[in-house]
Amino acid sequence: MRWSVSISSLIHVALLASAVVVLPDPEEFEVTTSEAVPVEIISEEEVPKPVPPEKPPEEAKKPEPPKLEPPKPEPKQEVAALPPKPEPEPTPKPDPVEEPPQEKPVEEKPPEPKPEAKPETPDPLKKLIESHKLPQKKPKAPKRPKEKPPERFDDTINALLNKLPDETSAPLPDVTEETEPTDTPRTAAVSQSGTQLEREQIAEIVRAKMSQCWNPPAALKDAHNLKVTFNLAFDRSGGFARAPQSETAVSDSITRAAVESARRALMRCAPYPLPEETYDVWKDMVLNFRPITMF
Amino acid sequence: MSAYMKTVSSKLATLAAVAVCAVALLLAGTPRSLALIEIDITQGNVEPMPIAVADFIGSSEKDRQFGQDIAGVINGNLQRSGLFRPLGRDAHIEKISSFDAAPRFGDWRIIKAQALVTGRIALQSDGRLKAEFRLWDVFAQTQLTGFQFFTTPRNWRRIGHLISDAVYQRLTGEKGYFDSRVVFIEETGPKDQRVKRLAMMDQDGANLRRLTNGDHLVLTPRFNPKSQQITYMSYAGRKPRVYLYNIETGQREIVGDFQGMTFAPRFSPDGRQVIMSWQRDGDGNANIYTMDLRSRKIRRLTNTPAIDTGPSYSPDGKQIVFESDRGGSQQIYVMNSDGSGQQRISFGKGRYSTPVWSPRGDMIAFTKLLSRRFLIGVMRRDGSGERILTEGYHNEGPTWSPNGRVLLFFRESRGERGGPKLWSVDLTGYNEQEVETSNFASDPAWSPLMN
Repeated sequence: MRWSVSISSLIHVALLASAVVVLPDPEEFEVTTSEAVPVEIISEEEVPKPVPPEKPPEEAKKPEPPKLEPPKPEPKQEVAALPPKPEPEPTPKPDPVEEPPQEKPVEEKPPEPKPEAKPETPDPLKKLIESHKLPQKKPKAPKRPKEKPPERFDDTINALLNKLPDETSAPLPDVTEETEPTDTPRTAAVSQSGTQLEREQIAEIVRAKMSQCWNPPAALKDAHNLKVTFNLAFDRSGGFARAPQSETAVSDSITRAAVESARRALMRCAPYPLPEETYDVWKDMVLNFRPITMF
Repeated sequence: MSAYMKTVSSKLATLAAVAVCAVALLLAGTPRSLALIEIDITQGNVEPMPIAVADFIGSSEKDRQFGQDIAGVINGNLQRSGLFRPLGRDAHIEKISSFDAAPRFGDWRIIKAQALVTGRIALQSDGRLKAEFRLWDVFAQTQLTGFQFFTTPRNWRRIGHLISDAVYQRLTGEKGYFDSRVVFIEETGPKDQRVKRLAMMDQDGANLRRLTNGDHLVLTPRFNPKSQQITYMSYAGRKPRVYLYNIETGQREIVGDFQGMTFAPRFSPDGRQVIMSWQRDGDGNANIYTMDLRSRKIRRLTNTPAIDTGPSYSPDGKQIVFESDRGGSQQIYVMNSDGSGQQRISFGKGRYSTPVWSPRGDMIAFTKLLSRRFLIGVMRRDGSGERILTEGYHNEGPTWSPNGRVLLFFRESRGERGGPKLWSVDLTGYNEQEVETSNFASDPAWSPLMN
């Protein structure tokens, strides 16, 4: 009996003591210091462009370099050596992507030893256009309150995107039914070539194509201020007589992304099924891309 | 650009009209042509952009495995962003075999890719991992960007995130948000006996780490925008107090020597101050204070007999948004960072709480209680343009992605077995999805970009 009592108490004491020793103070909960992945570990530098493809069988089209800026020669044609660009980024910059200083050189592509754009559109492109019917499942606006002209365009968007559970609340402007622009084009000048009907028809075709092919860069903070202008010259078959050229000065990454998305769309959509009899009306065209409907 | 924007913004009023009439045929008096047809394009395809990420090549089996895994991280990031649609590798026609040659653009156009990412992995003799990538414009047939990285192999996921950010920025024009983390409260155990731990994971849910052991209730963790530091509220001392926690060292400390409760902490944009609510012992009201972390100086910003809480700085540090019931119900207010110019900005029906200023400065996100439902919404900094992004039985606690484009919040499900989970929604209100966590999770806070 005594024995068992003392053994029992001994064990109790030992247990208590071990609890004190073994269980750490909650306030001193340890965290493995490996938690932090030191950023310094990752170094980065720019990868120069590779040798331009030797045999571009189907690549007839190359965008011409914009004339505005002096073209910058490519520092290296080979990646093997991988020397940093003239503006070397020594070690981890706060930003992995190119910073403004680099952007200009990147946007203004040096003239590459490429054949000039040919009038004829290559076949693969044509095929691509034909086979290219994207499913048109646009996200449905959850709710469309009734008509009243919107005061600000982005209020319209706001309202359309608003996911309020019931009609009760929200100090929102009401919205017109058409988020999509009306189909009736407005003619501003009478002295253009072609009849109004012809021009409307042309605009209709181009707009339909663009609504398929253009993926405007989303997420833009000031999208409603953005306009990207392209001067286009067409050949009779509806392809480009010269590569699409943007008139828009690229001053920041957002404009650059917008210019490039528009150029991709133009090239992706070519050729354009424009009526040959009105070729004189559409052989030169100005397109203004305004990604206002995106955020 | 800015000059351009100025001139354009003055035309904002007319812009609506222009937009409604998408096609304006104008006479453009350019000299090289007598008459030009000019067309405005306002409608694009809102489908996510099809993009292909080829498995990164490598010379050894190990390299190729890394290459595949990194491509997988990039695909996952781009997919979840809602802005891109990565094309499955089964669809790829060209199998990239050389990193140094241009790809066969035609092969990528056929599968409708607009952009292509190629890359190469090479484990170095010194044990480091070298990763290179190029982003190609498939239609313009040019390289848009390309970088190479060196890191330790265990950092391979970060390589994937850094490349995702570079691709995102180049194609959208805005900074990415993939190389970032989320700190949150992990909840385990039955509903009436929840254990809450401070936890952290990568933005995509990988690399979960638990930072506290769950002995004490912890709430509202927030990242320091400038250092590896978190502030949060804990009941460790039986009273709710604001704590600081150093991620790298595991060290923690109480912020300030306040008599009473401190809660709802957040850092200032420069990371030097903590702003929070302080409810003195015996007081029924709470006011907003800042404490300088170096000088420990305390400053009082509001002084009302109401509950002022949930303060959040504008990214330029000049203004603070907060919630207050001084007008009878919880509403959102804005003041200057010295406490002057306090002004209510929310006027909709319902009660507003947890306002958070967007890192890009243009928006304020909030939780709204309306007809017994909790909604997450955004409004402009002046309170206009309110828009609800998601609604339901219980949504709460929005936090912005580093680029101000995506919100993370938690959504509670009903019932005995219900609990909170993390969800994300982008600014358009579409692309809502759950962030997978192994346990219940609440109170998320997004870190700034890590580099």
